[in-house]
Amino acid sequence: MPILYVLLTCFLTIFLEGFLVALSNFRFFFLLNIALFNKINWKYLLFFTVLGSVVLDVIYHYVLGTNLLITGISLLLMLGISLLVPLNYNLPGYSVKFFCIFIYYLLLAFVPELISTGNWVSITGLMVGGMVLKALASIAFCVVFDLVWSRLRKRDEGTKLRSL
Amino acid sequence: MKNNTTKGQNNNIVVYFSLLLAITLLLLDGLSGMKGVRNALSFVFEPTSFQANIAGSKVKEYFQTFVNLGNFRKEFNDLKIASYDKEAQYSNYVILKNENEALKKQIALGNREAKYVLANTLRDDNVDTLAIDQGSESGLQQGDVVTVGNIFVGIVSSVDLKGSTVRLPSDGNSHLEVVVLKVGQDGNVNTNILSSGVVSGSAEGIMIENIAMNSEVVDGDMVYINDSKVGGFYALGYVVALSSNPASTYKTAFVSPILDYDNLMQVFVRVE
Repeated sequence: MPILYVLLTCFLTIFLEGFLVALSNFRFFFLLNIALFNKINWKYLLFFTVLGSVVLDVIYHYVLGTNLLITGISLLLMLGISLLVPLNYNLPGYSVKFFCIFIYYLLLAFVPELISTGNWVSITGLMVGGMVLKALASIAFCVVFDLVWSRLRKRDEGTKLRSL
Repeated sequence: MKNNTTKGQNNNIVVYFSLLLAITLLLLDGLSGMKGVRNALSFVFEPTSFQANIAGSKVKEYFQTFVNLGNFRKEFNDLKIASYDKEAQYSNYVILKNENEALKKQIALGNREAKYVLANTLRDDNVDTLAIDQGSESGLQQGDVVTVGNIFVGIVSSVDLKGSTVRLPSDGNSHLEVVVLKVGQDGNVNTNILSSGVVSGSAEGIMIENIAMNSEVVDGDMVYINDSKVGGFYALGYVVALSSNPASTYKTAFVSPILDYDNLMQVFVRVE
């Protein structure tokens, strides 16, 4: 049954990703990865991350594994920083997430092109500005998501969701 | 706390495993076996993504309108100015065209021996008179005949240095002798005079009186001015609403003028 939930979430995420990318080039899949990190069972998170990123590679016509690589690098960076700054629900914690999301967007700007054609992409100031804005919006989403998640846990006394 | 730490450590596995799998997938993507995976995933997820993309693009278009509102306003103002400019040019062209047509009419049908002064009509609230922009400076005098081609417009009633007033046939003080001619099937006017009469202005319009009782005048016949004050034949209009009283010795009717006096732009004043 949980696998079904993950599959359904994957479909929903792909839909939202497509919608938000067309709207403002906003990446929802990685955002959900960050938001769900340390919140659900690692097996389901792994399944969701691998399946979602491979599907997105197919949709964006990237070389398979590109999205997974960028996601992995960004998360690895987050883990590295979290050794110094704990990933709590406070300003330093969200700052780490902000930096991690920013790095994700930065990598996304040139890594797919680099892998598929071997060419570097020049990054302009305007692009960096856009990345910062998108990272800020992502952090706002993370804050709301964390609040909703903690409320849900309280309501269900942490039994059902903890089992996920 | 211990549980959290374990979960945290387990989530670290996700990252390491993801990186490992990513590198493996990157290396394997060139193989033909991955093409099948690609096709299968594309078949399942592409429609969802496509529909989401369309929906996103539509919403973006909607919001883009608000973003570009400033540009739209500027463009609208520019277009408005351009439109005014074109309108001014068009008005100028209409005036020239009108003048050209009036001149053509005058050359083709008017009395070439007489001297004519071209005058532009000015806006006047009075429906029975017409203000023109030529006056005594151009040689106009009271009593001069105003025409367009061979169509009668009126008689100059007062003259200033740079403007004049023309009394139209619909004015109550206008009394002119006329003749009524028959209009043939082909639109040509017969030279046989059906009857003579007098036209005078009234509140109802241009009235024609004194049409002989035994004349064969019918609605649609042509009315021509034949008055010593005017000199020469000038078309005025058509007989309409012909009525005869058995007790009376003459018929009465109204004249539907050929020209619409409200829309006249140029007229010719015959100066002696």
